[in-house]
Amino acid sequence: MSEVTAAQVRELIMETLNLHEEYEPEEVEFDASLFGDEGLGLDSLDALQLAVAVEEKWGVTIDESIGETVFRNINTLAGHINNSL
Amino acid sequence: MAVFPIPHRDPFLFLSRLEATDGEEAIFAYDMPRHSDSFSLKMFPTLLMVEAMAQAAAAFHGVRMNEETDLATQETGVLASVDKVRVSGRPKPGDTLTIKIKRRKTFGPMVLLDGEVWVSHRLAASAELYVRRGISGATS
Repeated sequence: MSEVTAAQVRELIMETLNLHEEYEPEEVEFDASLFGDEGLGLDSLDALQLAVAVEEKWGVTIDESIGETVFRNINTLAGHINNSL
Repeated sequence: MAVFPIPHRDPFLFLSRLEATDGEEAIFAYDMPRHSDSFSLKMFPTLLMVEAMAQAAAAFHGVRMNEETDLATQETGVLASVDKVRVSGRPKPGDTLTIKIKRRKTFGPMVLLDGEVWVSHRLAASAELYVRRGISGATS
């Protein structure tokens, strides 16, 4: 399977969480924080929805135990997906 | 009627009893009254099947089966989101709804559950329900 790009991960995030109305894709930087006050400011519901979406699209499981590391930003999420494929 | 660990009460409680649970899934039943002062409708509104699944999902987190009582209240759940709702039937007064709830994924305080409503062995509705765990609620 070919490598999953950060742009593909960004698109999945924006589609899953309906962010297209708030942001243009290029506004969402690959190294910006996904959670917390800075960056996208996602919450725990977003995290679960995102974990399910990644599992459905690429078959990669994201457990709660690694969530904080994997969901740091788009680059870390893409890295986890590619390491798991 | 059984007391569930959610704040809903008659006439807006759509769970009559817990029939089974193994910790990962639970089956509730709701006996739709033939006559009701609160609902004069001839059919059970579609939206209330979603409400029944949501109540079952929230109650599922507060339910602990034990040998002495059919329900004990430990914790509850709060509905966060509902997605992918499908409706394929509408119960009638006097029908018994079988509401099946199955835990699919847990992530932090959030839980994703698959819900189904069955009537007379036919699937009437299904949905994905997101519930937040561990928030105390009314227990009586």
